[in-house]
Amino acid sequence: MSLYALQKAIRDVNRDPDKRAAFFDSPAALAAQYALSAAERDALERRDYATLYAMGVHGLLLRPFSILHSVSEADYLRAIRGEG
Amino acid sequence: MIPLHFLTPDMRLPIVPIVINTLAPPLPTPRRCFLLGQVVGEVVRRDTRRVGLIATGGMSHDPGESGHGHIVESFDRQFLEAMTAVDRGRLKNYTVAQLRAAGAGAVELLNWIALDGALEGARSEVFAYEPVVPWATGIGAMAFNVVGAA
Repeated sequence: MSLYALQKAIRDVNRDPDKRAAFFDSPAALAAQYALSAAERDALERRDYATLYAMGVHGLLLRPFSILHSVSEADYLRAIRGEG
Repeated sequence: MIPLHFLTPDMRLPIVPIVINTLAPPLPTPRRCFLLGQVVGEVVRRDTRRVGLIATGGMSHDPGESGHGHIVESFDRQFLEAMTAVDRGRLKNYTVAQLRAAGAGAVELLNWIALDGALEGARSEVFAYEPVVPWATGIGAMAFNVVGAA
């Protein structure tokens, strides 16, 4: 269980311009910088919002992260509600 | 705090911010926030300066969470009733889970509860309440009349 590291990674992508650029360049390379489980790394790399939300990522980290990737509110809500 | 932007735009008044964690566990209990407010109230009443107490926080809302867009108006109205009751003991008995049930953002009402602790015994009234759909948030405004308060 490394939810803290997972949320830290998402926080860093949201807030740190260098980390953000690194994630856009290579999600896998960025994810490798954090002590994540295989499932967490996979969900982060694929931006699997449903899984990230189910893992416990805070909505105020996850929604800005999705906005960075131009995900509409409707699509985001469908994903975290497991409707998508 | 947005109210300060309007109340003292040039920020020339001395301000003591009190930050209560409303975002992520471990969260303080409503009772603890109320007690914190009581201590602040005691300190302020001992001070000879004119002191204003302001608290902010959204009512029912669930930003970034699965309940986003759903405003639990019945919860908000009950909470406002508890904030204006003569005996405000009910506020202390709220649980974080009860606040959370109205949305993750409703935990911000811990700030309101702390303010009520500071102004215990003062009459209070609700100015306005509206479930503001475009903001996906219950919005309330209230004031306390401290003239003659214990």
